[in-house]
Amino acid sequence: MLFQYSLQQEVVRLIKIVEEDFSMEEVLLRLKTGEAGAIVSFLGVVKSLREGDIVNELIVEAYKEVAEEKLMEIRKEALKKFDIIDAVIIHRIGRLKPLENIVLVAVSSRTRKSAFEACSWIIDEVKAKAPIWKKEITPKGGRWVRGA
Amino acid sequence: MRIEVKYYAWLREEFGDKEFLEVENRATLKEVVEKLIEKHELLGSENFLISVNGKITGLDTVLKEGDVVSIFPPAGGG
Repeated sequence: MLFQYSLQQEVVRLIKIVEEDFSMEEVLLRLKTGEAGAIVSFLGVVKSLREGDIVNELIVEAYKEVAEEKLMEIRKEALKKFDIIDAVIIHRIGRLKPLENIVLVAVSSRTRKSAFEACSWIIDEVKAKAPIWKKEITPKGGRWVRGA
Repeated sequence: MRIEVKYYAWLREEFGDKEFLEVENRATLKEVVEKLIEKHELLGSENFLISVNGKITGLDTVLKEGDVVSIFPPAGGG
């Protein structure tokens, strides 16, 4: 029973949808284990310019319950699909300013090839499948970012 | 019976955070969706995802009093 509880806690820590910023260093440190010879990460940040318009702010909204479940599924599938040791997915929500962190995917593996492939696959899946939406606030008004 | 309908992203801006809908007892999700499309034409013009009480489910799901139906756009990508 205790073992099951610990496992559940572990998954919750590896998948997060949060308002507060995250420390990339802490995540990378967490992935440094004896067997891991490669850690690849993707960090998504708020652009200050998009399609010729200044972006003053990015509002990130999620349907949290479903999005968290989706992130857990994506992580689980990545662990099956690729020869990797572990994966972390953290997505922020709320009102973010240019240059702030939005999303972090980090993958550890024995070799770099599988870490690169898994990291790229995970972020594509997150963008395509997790119910998380972004609205850019520009001097012309607000606009939802649609499509991958 | 009464169910709650929640909207997300640009749908929330169109229809508000949530609304309550009176439907027949044991109405299916399909019947509720049809009723909502009659009320809000936009819902019939694009593909949206639907969950009941936080779980994505089929249109044949039978609803009960107080269920929360969430309607939301597919992932934003970008």
